[in-house]
Amino acid sequence: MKHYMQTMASVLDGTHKGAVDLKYFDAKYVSVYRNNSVTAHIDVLWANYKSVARLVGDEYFTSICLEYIKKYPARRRNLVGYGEHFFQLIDDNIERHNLPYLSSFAKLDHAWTLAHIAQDTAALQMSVLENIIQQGGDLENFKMSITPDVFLVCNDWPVFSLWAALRDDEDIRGAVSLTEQAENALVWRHGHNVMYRALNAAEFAFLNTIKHGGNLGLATVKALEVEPATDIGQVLGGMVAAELFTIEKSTDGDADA
Amino acid sequence: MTKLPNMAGMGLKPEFYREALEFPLDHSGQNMWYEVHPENCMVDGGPRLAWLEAIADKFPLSLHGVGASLGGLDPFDKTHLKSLRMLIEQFNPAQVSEHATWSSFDGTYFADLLPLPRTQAAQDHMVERIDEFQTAIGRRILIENPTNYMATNSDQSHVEMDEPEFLVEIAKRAGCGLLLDVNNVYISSVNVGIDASAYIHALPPGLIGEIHIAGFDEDPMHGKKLLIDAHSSPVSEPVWDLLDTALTHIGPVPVLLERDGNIPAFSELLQEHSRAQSALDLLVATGAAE
Repeated sequence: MKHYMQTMASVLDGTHKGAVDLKYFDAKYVSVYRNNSVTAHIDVLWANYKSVARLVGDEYFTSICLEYIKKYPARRRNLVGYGEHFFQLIDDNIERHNLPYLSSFAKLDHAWTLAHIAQDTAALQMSVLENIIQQGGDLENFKMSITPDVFLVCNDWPVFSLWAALRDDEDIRGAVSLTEQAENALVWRHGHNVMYRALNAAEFAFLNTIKHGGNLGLATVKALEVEPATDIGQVLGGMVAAELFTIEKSTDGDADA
Repeated sequence: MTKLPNMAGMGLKPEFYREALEFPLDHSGQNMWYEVHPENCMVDGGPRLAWLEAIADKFPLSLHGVGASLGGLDPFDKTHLKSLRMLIEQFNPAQVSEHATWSSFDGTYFADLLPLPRTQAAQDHMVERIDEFQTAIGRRILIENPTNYMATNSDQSHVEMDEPEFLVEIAKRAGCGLLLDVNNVYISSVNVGIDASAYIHALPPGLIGEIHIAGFDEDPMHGKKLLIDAHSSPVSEPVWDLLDTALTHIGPVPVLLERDGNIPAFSELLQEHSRAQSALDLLVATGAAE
């Protein structure tokens, strides 16, 4: 039984050397199992890296997937979220595809997937902060966390608007022309929908401070350091309305590789 | 836990969550039930679980696993078992099923349902594994017959019995039931030349708790000689005929319409669902069961 499975497994993972020793089966159709397995993985990678697939086209995307499947075979018994190292593989192949910005798209796609399946948590409501103010409490030392569906994505290339267009199935015409420049984006879930928007430097500093355990006072200081004219009330109000914070214990999102 | 109704049900897909939820129930409250792959719901939160919760509140639900690797040699994945147990606790499905196949070896998960050798040793192994699995999840399961793509070669050391004999003995000894996928039987009849009707009649009716119907694709290279269990097209006429054969032999049991690719409009799927229900209704009306 072990030899039987070992033989099939070597066909499936492509590690079998030379002609397949198929004493068990008619060799003509053995590739069906490999095709089924590969197709299942590629379908999931396509769904999880939709913008990358649309950007590079089916043929090249399939070639990246095949390499990925070989290098990072699935170890869990389901493919939900499969492809967590995809942007690394893309970066490893920059010389081949000559698209240095491609992994930035992959990071945003991955954040989308993680936000979609993240834990549900009760969001902090503005009334909580208003009550603290009304009772003369200390808002500066108030601590909150980002909700598990919030992901800050730091990229070296300004791809966000193009990524959002691809994600929204808009038609992209013409060649992509980008100049290397750092850009931060926020991906999160609001209700059943995954949302996304670019973050300015102050917003990023504010949110990143909260994410790393800083209190509201420290987040305000960090935001004002990068942009003194920032209206902190507006930033905080917008983020609370978007339900980015919780006062429940939660796991930090971490797509900002 | 309620029993799945002996009615036609449908595989639940994100493409039609809303329509599925809004499907009108009749006075019996059992004219629709849904089946999901639990692996797609092994997430921490979000819309998948929220929709499933709403749908499971209104309709009977079946969990049909694809990732356990029941026949595999690797130990069961503890995280997978724990997630499955949690889904069972949360949604209280009327039925839980898996496949009489393997899908993992040396820690790698292939995301495919691979056929087992049909030997006494493999049978003993499956009985032990199903016992362990049923104990771990606290439920009796049904196991589904596999699709066959490759005829056995001259070396028959891995084939000591035919598939019905292999599965029936496992089910009897392990205390599980059978899920008869008539599309798989039809595909195997084309691909490896089994007699589909004889296959179905070799299964004791009392062991079968559910029937699956689905569509297949022709292999791009080999055409009609090699059919692929793709679930990407409507149910074919020969499979509808086999459904009638199976229902006549077994009697009324839950019948599930599977569709996993090229998902059409919900209304289109409902037409196939209605045809399956009509087959069940006719069976009851005429008392045609053997």
